[in-house]
This record gives sequence, structure tokens and C-alpha cells, in this order.
Amino acid sequence: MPIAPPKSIPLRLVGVAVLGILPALALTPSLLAQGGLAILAACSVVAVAVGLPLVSAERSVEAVDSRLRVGAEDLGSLLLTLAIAAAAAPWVALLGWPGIAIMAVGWSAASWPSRASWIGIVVLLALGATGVVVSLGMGPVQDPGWTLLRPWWSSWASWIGLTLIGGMLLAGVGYGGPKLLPGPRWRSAAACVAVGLFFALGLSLLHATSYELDLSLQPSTLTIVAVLPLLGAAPLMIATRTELPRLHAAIGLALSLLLAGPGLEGLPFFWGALLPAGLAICLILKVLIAQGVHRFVLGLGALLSLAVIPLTAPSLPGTWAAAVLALVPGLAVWLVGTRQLLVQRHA
Amino acid sequence: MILLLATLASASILIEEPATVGEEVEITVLDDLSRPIVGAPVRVAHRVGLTGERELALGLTDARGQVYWTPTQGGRTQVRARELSTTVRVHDKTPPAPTLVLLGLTALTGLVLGLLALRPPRRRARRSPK
Repeated sequence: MPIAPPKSIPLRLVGVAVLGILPALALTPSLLAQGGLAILAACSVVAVAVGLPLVSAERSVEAVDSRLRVGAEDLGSLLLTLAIAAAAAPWVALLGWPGIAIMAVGWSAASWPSRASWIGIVVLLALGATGVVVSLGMGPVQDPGWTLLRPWWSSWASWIGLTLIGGMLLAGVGYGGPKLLPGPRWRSAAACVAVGLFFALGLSLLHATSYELDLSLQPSTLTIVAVLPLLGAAPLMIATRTELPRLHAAIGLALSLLLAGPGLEGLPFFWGALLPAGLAICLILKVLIAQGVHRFVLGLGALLSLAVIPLTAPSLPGTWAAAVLALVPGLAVWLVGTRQLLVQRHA
Repeated sequence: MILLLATLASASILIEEPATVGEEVEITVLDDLSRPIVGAPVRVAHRVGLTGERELALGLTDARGQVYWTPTQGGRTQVRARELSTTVRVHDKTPPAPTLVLLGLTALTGLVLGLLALRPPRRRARRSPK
């Protein structure tokens, strides 16, 4: 069953805005500390050179009537939900109860049955207000701190894997890219990459200023104020994407809380191993039904996703974090398998 | 001349401000009675807590509790003497070019992609039936 874009124009705009939030949220000060702006620059190159062609290739299979395609789309949507939960988790852990409340509101809004346009208007206003707050906050800073932003190419081995996965996520690889604007699919993907790059640049400047004040990698109050609406809006990605918003919202909320709590230690393993493996499976399913040059492009994308695992080489998490992460393949098998059975029954 | 004062108990490190790359600055280490500490090893640390963190030894303080330092790298720098430490911002004479170039290129990429996305899609020309 093809995924229909939302009809509401504010929700479409929100879709473009929030799809870019994910890599910005994941670009934490401790990640920036490893390579500075080199990480963001490499991420943008991956998004343009790898992400956009892959999204176009994924589009070629969306009309194919196949159970494999349904499976790939379900897995892609689940991966998107998991990625939102994982990107939000460090912030929820930092904020505590307010963070939990914001995630609860965000995921609830994402599961709103009518996906009313007022949700989109509220989120757009919140994002606009954030922009004003950040601009005012950055105003007095005559000379932003450059120490944290300084590109550090020689440490590429520590961040290149995450950059690959971040660039692909920025363009929407895996879940078939966003379908929010009329015209070719790459158009929506390009809009999301553009918005995402600006969000990430803004947050990077805030992180750098915060570091310059006290040499701390903890986000400042201004950064937290800027991130709050982004956190609340992030779950709306699934409202614009999937036909299972309630189920995904429930999964997303549960995993946001679990990953912010006992699973926090396992986040590097999620970004470095589970998510790339999931993306690779998703792309391989599409390779099986694609034709011509698209098959080659998707195959290359799957290989690149798999290459992330040895590049990041994440260490195995502790017992509780491993238990939380074990839910991920379990959920994938359950969700995709159940839908496959339903599709088979209806066929 | 502005003096930056960092105290731990009452002991302190005094640094001439503003510190600029390539220009010598004077660092004075004083004890809790504001007397110069002689023979204290003074070090500076760049990129504290970040990849590429490095510490340089400047030498021992002289009879006036002073040591001289010519910064070679801009950015936030920590000055350490015995158990004391303070941070100082070293200004670059010119803005850091690689950082600015990357910042500009990333913003330009976002701008170009945004403009491409905003451009209305081409309509296919209909062939008139013969």
C-alpha cells in the first residue's frame, strides 16, 4: 500500500522542517568535539552525493506490487521511528521530567487521527519562535567561538561512519525519502537536506558558543531552549510518513524513554551497528525488486550502509542497554512479519 | 591593560589581555598573599576536552613570578600553574579560514538545495495530435 503524503499544507511544511531536525539533534557537542565542522561538511556531501541518488532509486520501486516492497517500506518507517527516539534520547536524559513530558506531547500529536492542520501551524509557530530566540541570543555574541567548530580532519576514523549514516538519514534513505512536495521525489529530499543543514549549522554555532564560555561540552540554557521545540516536533515526522502513526507513536514514545534511561549507554551501538544493518536490509529488499541502474545504485547504498559497522566499530553495551537494544530486531520482525501475513491474506 | 584574575583560594594567575596569536603576553602567578610564586611550572592547554587536545610547557616562573608566552594557536586556552588554572581566549589575527570556508560551503549547499527544491517542477509539454 503506497504511503500518501499529508493533504494539509502546514503539515507538509512541517514535514520538510522536521525531517531535517533528526541529524541536527544527533549532532551533539560531544560528537562535534571529535571533528568540528568537518563532520557537518562531510555529512552534507554524503547527503547530496549518496542520499539524493539513493532516494531517487528507491522511488523507482514504490509502484511495484510486491510483498517485498511492503516489507521494505514498513522496515524503513520503523527505522525512522527508532532514529527519532535515539536522536531525542540524550536530550530527554539531560532534561529529565520536562523532556519526558515534551516527548509524550510530541508522540501523542504524531498519532493524532485526523492529523489536523492546526498541529502543523502550532509546530511552525514553535519553530519560528525558536529561530527568533536563537537569533536574539546569538545577537550579543560578536565573535562566535571557533575552537569547537575548527575542522579536525585527521580524526576522520572516529566520525566517518556516523557521517555516512547521518548523511543518508538527512536525505531520507531507507524509508524512501519524504513525499511532501509535488514533483520528483528528490525535490522533497533536497528541501529536507537544506532545512536540516541550516538547523545543524545553527545548533553547532550554539554548541560552539557554549563551549567558548566555560570549556564545557554540556549544552547551555540557550541551546536547550532552542532544542525544546525541535524535540517536540521531531515525532511529527512519522505523522507525515507512515500509515501506522498510532503504533509507531507508541513504539517511539516507549523507545525514547527506554533509550533515555537504561538504554542510553547503548546509543553508540544503535547508531553504529543496528541502524546501518537495518538500512542495509531495507535497501537489499528494494534491490530484489528494482530494475536496471536503480538496482545497482541501491546495491551500492546497501554496501555503504554495511561499511558503517566496521568503520564505527561500536563496543558492545552493558546488560540493561543490550536488553533495550534487543527490542529493536524483535520489533522489526514482529511489525514487518505481521504486516507480511496480512498482505498475504489479502492477496 | 585588562588583567584577568583567576583564583583558587586566594592564589591566582594573572594574564595580560587581550591575548593574540603571535604577540607575547605576560603571565604572573601569585600565591594566596599576592606574592609572586617563583619556580612554578606553567603550561597551556589547547582544545581542552576536544580531539587534538595538547598541552605545552612554557617554563618556570622567574623571581617576579612571571613567565612569557607567545600564543601560536587561537581559541579558548587553559593556562595551568601547579594546582591553579584559568582560561583565556586567544584571538586570531585573521578569522580561522578553514572553519569559515566550511561554514560558508555548508550554508551554500543548504541554500542551493533549498532553491532547487523551491523551483516549480517543469510541466511536460503536451504533443498536439496531428
